[in-house]
Amino acid sequence: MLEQTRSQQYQKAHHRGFLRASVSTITAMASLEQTSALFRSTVIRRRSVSVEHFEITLAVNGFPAAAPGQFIQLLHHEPHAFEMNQGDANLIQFNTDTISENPLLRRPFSIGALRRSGDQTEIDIIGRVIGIGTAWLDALRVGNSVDFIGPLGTPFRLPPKNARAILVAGGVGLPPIRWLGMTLTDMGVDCRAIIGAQRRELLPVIIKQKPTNFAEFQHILGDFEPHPVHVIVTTDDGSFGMKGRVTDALAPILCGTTEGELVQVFACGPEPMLKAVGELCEASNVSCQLAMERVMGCGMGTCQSCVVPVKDDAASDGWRYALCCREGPVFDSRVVIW
Amino acid sequence: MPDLSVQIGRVRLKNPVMTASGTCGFGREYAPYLDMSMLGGFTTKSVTLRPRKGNPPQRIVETPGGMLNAIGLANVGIDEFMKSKLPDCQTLGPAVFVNVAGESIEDYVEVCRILDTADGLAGVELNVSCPNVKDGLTFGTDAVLLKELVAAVRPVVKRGVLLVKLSPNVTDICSTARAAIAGGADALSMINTFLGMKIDIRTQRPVLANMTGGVSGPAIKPMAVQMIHRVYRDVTRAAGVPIIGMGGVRCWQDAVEFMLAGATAVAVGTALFAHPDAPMGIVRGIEDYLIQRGLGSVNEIIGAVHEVRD
Ligand SMILES: Cc1cc2nc3c(=O)[nH]c(=O)nc-3n(C[C@H](O)[C@H](O)[C@H](O)COP(=O)(O)OP(=O)(O)OC[C@H]3O[C@@H](n4cnc5c(N)ncnc54)[C@H](O)[C@@H]3O)c2cc1C
Ligand SMILES: Cc1cc2nc3c(=O)[nH]c(=O)nc-3n(C[C@H](O)[C@H](O)[C@H](O)COP(=O)(O)O)c2cc1C
Ligand code: FES
Repeated sequence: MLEQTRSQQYQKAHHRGFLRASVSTITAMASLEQTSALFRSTVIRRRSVSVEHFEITLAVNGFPAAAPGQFIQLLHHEPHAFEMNQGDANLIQFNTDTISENPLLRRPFSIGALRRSGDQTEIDIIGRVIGIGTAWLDALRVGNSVDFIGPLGTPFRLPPKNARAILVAGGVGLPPIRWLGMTLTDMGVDCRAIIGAQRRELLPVIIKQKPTNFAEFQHILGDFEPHPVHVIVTTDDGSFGMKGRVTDALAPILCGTTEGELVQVFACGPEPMLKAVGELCEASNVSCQLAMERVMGCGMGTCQSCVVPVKDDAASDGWRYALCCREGPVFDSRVVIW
Repeated sequence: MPDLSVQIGRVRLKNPVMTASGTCGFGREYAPYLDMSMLGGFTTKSVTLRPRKGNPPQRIVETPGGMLNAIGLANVGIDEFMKSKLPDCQTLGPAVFVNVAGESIEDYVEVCRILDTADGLAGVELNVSCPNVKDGLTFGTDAVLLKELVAAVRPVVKRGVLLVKLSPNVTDICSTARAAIAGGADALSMINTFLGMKIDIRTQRPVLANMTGGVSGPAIKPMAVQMIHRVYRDVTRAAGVPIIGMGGVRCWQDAVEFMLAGATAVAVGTALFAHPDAPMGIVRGIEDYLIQRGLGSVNEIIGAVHEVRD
């Protein structure tokens, strides 16, 4: 009953030009370096991926250009009438104070894949349930609606076609790496992925086929299909794939690269993993881009909460804080100060 | 159509809705989501004499009904602000207030002196929730020190209005309000964040690298309303000094409540992080409220709360 009232109020807000206003601002701001907007999307698919991970697909109209490494800021509750930006003093009988809105802040999620057809865009999100916000997302079902702002952040710089890309994902660091792999293989770049987790149940991937060879698995993961990404899986306890860390799989590949071969590494995952991957690449003189994570207040560059210390020769003492939500989340491994 | 314009000292705002310092950057960040020109006023992040990197992360954490922040006044410093940020602010449309912070009275005076050379600024807002490096006291919690600071800054703020942003971390907010007015404040902004802390029970460490931070958001709204109401009734109404109210405002209902308590204008802060377009609905809601009540001007609701007494 209440839900219905809210959705009616939403319709009204819509009617009163809330969405129209944001759309017209997009057009006006088309020349800005970063074009993003407020969206209301619909869940069109949902599946459980592992004991902790779920995947949802959001459908939205009029989504601006976006690229792998970018993220969206999801609102983790059904928007209340008062959040729909409407006036209307008739709503005075609504006591807005008794409306709880935790979580209050939006939460950042990487775009895990993106497909367009006509004006409609489908966005895949892979999430790991760790708190109230992600639990709310996990409970969403087909037909539910989700508010988000996006696309945000600076994407991965794509390598030239003749490069060999090595993609490294730890745990729920998979989503941006997955979309990057799809994009690169579409471009014709040779891609190899290393996906690691502590143990088999924590791999945020659907395992399609029993492995035959315990060192490497080709095309056993449904995730990249139909993209020809060669995947190596590692688990810390050896419960699936190669026993060890992603760096144990990465090191021999970097050692095996031949003179004159252009190799670039792209990674996303927990910070200790990113540090290890970055250091390994630096030692091998291989360029490496890392998608970093920070607790984000706004995702739009206003609150200054999401800082990453980076080297900067222009700064008097050689370093400064960069905003993960604007300059990042993708950083060159050589500029990050650990 | 009711008249939405309000007066803050010499400056006329076309409507009473503003954005709060530190929650909307330097004005361009929200441009894709919010037509900044619809705002009555806009306040920048705190600017200091020298550039400041700010605190190490983690700088924020969500808390019940709000959030805790310890950004540490990260900003580019006044020289770079004048060069790269101010020209942009001046083209936004609404009245622009530059929020100023410092570690000594001299810092504040110097920053305000430089700002006074700029054209098209509506005024400066003093963030006095910073410790004075000399004696460790926070300007905003010591009435004597606060009056001294405001009086020192007053002569150099010649072109714009002088706003003083009160700290709620005091026993008697009326005494700091009086001190700010005695020092020469044209208007009061209230309130800044409440001191707070969060401990991670798994690691047994404070969540914020700075240990403590400031609480903002809906959680602090009742305290903000109470403080605005008290200061309005006991200090500013008689003194004819307007209040810019802030602290947990997220919708037009909150804005109307703040104005009834005594605020002349209302600033939206934390709510912008989730809803950068919120000010649009707040302006429209205030307008609808006035129409429904048959009121011709928003000024009619300022301080209009009925005080029930025996
Ligand atoms: C650019 C970016 C992209 C991201 N992409 C994804 C993604 O694709 N899939 C996914 O599952 N998660 C992703 N995250 C992390 C995700 O935002 C957090 O898991 C989410 O905010 C947790 O919300 P919650 O309410 O469930 O947990 P909360 O109750 O808010 O937090 C639970 C615990 O997680 C920690 N935490 C909260 N926010 C973050 C954060 N941003 N980064 C690291 N730790 C955090 C908290 O400190 C706390 O200890 C991304 C984060 C960033 C910055
Ligand atoms: C992330 C963040 C940064 C802030 N930075 C400043 C600042 O630089 N100077 C200042 O005077 N107030 C600052 N504030 C305080 C706000 O301007 C406002 O007074 C306070 O948050 C209460 O309003 P709110 O609950 O609507 O956010 C900041 C608040 C937040 C949440
Ligand atoms: S999250 Fe607010 S500035 Fe980056």
